[in-house]
Amino acid sequence: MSQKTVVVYGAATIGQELVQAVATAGCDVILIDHSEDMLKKGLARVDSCLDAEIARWGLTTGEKRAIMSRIKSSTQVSDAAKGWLVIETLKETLEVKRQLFKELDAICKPDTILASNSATISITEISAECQHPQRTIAMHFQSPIVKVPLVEISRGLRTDEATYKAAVRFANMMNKTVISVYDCPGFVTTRIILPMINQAVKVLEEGIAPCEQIDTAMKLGFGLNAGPLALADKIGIDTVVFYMENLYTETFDQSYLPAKLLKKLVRAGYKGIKSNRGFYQYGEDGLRIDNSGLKIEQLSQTFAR
Amino acid sequence: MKILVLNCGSSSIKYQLFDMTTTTVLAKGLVQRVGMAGSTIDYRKGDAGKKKVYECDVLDHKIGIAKIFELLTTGEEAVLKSLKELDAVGHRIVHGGDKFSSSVLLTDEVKKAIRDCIVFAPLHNPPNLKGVEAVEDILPTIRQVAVFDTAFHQTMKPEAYIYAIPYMFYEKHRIRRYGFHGTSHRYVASRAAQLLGRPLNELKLITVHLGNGCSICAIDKGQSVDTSMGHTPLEGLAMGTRCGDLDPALILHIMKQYELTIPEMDNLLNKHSGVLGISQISSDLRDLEEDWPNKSERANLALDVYSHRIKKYIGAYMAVLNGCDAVIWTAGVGENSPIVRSIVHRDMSWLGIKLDFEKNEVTWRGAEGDITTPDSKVKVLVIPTNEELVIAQDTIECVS
Repeated sequence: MSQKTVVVYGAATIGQELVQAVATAGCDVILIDHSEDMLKKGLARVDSCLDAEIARWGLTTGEKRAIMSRIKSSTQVSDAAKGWLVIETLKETLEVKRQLFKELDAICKPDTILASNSATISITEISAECQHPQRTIAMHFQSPIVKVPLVEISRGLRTDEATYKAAVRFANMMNKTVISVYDCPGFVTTRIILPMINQAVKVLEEGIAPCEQIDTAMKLGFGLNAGPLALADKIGIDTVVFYMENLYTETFDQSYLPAKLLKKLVRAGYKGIKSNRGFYQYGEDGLRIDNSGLKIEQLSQTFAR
Repeated sequence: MKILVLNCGSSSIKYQLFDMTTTTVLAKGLVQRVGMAGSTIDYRKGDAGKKKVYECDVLDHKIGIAKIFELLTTGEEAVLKSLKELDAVGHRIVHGGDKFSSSVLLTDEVKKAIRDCIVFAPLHNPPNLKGVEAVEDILPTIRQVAVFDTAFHQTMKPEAYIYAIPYMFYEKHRIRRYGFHGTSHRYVASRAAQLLGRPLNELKLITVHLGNGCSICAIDKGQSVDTSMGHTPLEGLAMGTRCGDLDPALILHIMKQYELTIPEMDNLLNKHSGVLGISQISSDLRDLEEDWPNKSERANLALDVYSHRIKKYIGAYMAVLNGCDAVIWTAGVGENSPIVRSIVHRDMSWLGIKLDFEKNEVTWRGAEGDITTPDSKVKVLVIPTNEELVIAQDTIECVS
């Protein structure tokens, strides 16, 4: 492993996408997760995502071999010390992240950069118990990380300039455009997209228009790649609610109070693509089934109002 | 005069040290995996010495070049007593835009111009520049020379280099045909004049450079008048993995039908096409030529498409030049594929080409010579290219 090794902590979807993106950019990377099983699944997903890229002519088999050769995995937190940069992609809760940062802070050399992929939690809070908070920063990669050419970087109150510059250089090396904010949960993208999803759900709830028409209107009207409801399914409706609650706590802004229907869907297990059902229904291949949008007239039968 | 020639790629450095008083190679080699784990440097004393491979950490081009200097000056296979013996360094620079029509001494101004051309060659010019700056850091006073792939083609006239798209793209963004492999086309053209025993300035030549990338050039009186590669090295001949000429509407059509992103389409055209795309066997012509013509129909088809495109360009350039004294084959495939040469030159007697099939068969693996019958009006020559030598010669010319 060279000095260029990056560590990605957490082998769930975002961690797996990040590992793929970092290795594709030419860096050696270690994926760490306490669960052997998660690591195995994560690496298998990277492998199959690269195969899908080859099938779309996006990669050659030689390039895939080179990318896979750059990826190592480990169940040991202590291996985080091998990276010059550690990016954490754990669940979006303050306690979990703060605890991990405290651990990493003790394990890694003081100049190792500790980054959090958190979308809605303050980096200053995450690094509150670190001895060396100047090397902590938030780097929010958006899914699908390999394709989205944006990284939002948020400096904590104690992040130093060298850490910030190194994070920007790293993002640029990955061919991503950087937008920077100061200690701002939600950054720009999450701050703005959540109220849009919330309003779309309210439009649906009030019976103004069905799912397909809401998404088509927003897609065509504003040149978006996906409509807000399809996007909520992609992010995961439970995650959307979680983000909204985090940002409501942060801002006390009413626009982050989740629409009733969002919570009902989560309770019913309609979490979006990952559960094959959200605002739309999805086949086992993850592709949306035609005309499967949630029908407002069925809502009262499906969920007690 | 001792001249070091460097060709710095994104993750590799090719080097060759010449003693130009005797025109001999003192040492040469290749640094691989610059900036990655598992870097290696190989070193060969003389032109045919035994290759030695060293493993070491090469984190950037500067470390790589420092390591090359170390191998040249210390150890049992050293060829220089000290770096003071080195007179100048010549660099291969891929893109000089329309600013350079010949090799030049490297100055801050030249470096800035090369930097301005990064937009034309985003993968090549940056590492080329890194090499220049690394040498500067280690040997601040040494003279360095830039030899451009594009320079030779700067003699093309507007009718050859302007694309038939809104003129604004040329005026505003300098989008035009630039052409590549200039150093190689130039070298084999002047070598052909020597072999033909005639002055270059009275010859009409067509040079066919077939390597990983392939391009063909029409040369009148020693000047490039047209070439098949364009604004990028993707245009023209079909190559190992690159498509070459294509109906541009297909790009839009395929991107729409398969919902491909720009990087995916870019890869499709650059890495999944050419003879690899057609044959689905290999990008290496040698694999397709194995057992030819009995390997497979698709292998034959790939070879036929590849060769047909070359034939078409030779015909076109004969028209552009209003005649032709010789067709010259060079680089990996050009020097070593009697099969492709025979497919291309089959049935060209009306155009004055009569191949001597026996000579064609035996002229390969570094051999040089005419492969036509004595009564062939147009000669066909095989000439091994030597871009490093041209860079060394240009370097001497620019520093003296």
